[in-house]
Amino acid sequence: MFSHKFVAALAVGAGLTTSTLAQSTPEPMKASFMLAGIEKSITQSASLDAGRIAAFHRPASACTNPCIAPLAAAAGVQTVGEREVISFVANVVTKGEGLLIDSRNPQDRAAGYIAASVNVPTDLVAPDNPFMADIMQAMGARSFEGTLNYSDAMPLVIFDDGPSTSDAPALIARLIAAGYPASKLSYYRGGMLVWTALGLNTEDAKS
Amino acid sequence: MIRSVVGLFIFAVLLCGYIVLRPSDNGRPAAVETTEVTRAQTDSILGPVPDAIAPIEVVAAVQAPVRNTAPGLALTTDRSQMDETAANVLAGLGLNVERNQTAGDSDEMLEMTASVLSGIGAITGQTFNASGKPPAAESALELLVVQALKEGQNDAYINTLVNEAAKAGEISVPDILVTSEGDVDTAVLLNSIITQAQIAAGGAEPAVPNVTSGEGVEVRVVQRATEAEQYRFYTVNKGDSLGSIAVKFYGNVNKFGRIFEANRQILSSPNAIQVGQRLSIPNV
Repeated sequence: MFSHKFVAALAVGAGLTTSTLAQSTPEPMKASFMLAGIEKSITQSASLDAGRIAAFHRPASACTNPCIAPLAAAAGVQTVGEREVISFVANVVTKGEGLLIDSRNPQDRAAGYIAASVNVPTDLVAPDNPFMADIMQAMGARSFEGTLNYSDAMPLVIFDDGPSTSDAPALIARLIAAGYPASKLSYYRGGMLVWTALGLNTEDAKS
Repeated sequence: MIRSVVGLFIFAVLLCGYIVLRPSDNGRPAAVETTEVTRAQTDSILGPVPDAIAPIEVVAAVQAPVRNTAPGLALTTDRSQMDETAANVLAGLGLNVERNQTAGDSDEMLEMTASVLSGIGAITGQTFNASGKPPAAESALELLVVQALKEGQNDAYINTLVNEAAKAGEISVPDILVTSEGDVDTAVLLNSIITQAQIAAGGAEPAVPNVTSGEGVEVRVVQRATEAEQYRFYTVNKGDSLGSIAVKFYGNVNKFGRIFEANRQILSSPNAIQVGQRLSIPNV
């Protein structure tokens, strides 16, 4: 009895130690990768531009109640942070094996987005879009006799403007409703707001 | 015993030889039946044509001295759908036509979906050949017809224009518009444009005509215990295209697929239609 508790405590302790060590790494984040023949990089700037962060702040009236997204988007969907997003982009997206999904509408996305992300507006993944199956197939689902099979669907990391908006949780809910396996979905809750607040670079249509 | 077996064998060989070597109906030279059908009948197939576009004189094309002996082979064809082609022509004329009968905003959905797909494709390196393709650019055929209609040209002129361009390899035509003579059935294309314009203007879809008689039409009624089943057949005449036959029997060129599917055994492709072929016409 006692030994069981001890082992469990040890395991938790070990987990904490690793993450503490990882977070105390001093150097800024940087990742360079090739995407569709173009070299891209994610860099962290030492100084912050308040105006850039403000561009991703959505007024409280723009979100559904409550105005703060839950930590977990849905059961079985992992919530991830910036390190996981960067490593996902550098190791999975670059190989064409996964997608970083920007769930905002194109107007909001125009303010800037994470390099290597693709825009799949939440509004488009709706039963009233007759072309929804095409989007699902583009994400790796296979169509067989009119039904979609998601066993080969790609892992997705989904984000929006940040914790004060609910585009990403809504998209995740719709994907799961359509049959996308929750285990293939991750939610980057920080979104554009936290991304820029950390000084990480963005791209926009002009760049 | 042996004699009769050998006799039967020789008979069988002769019979096979006859079947293989007998003159094929389809291979008959077109000149034999020149007087059988006039093009005016095709016009009646299309039903009343609004005044804006006069009935087409296809006579010129039919009487053209040089004939393709291998119909369909000389023309570049594609699988483009008539409703799409007609919609593009109307759009070229400045008329807005819903490409789909789904919700009114489906064009916007289609456009957004197309941009999503191209975004994903840019990352994964795949291209998606799905229905979410971006609206196709106007084809050379559509541009040609739009230009001629804008100039106010009559149908005979457009027909000659399209046929000349098709034979010169300048344009690709929808395969269902290729007639048994290897010409382009411009009448069906123009008819389809008019029909679509009428639907766009709030008109009803063309009714399905009940064709039970006429040149080449054959109706067989099989009496069953409880009901009589009606089977229709149609023998291809000169100048027919799969599109014009679909208009004749279904009132709608886009229903050609039913006829094509029902006659897959004799039609290798929608443009391989030949005079004398007996097509089964499925009931709607």
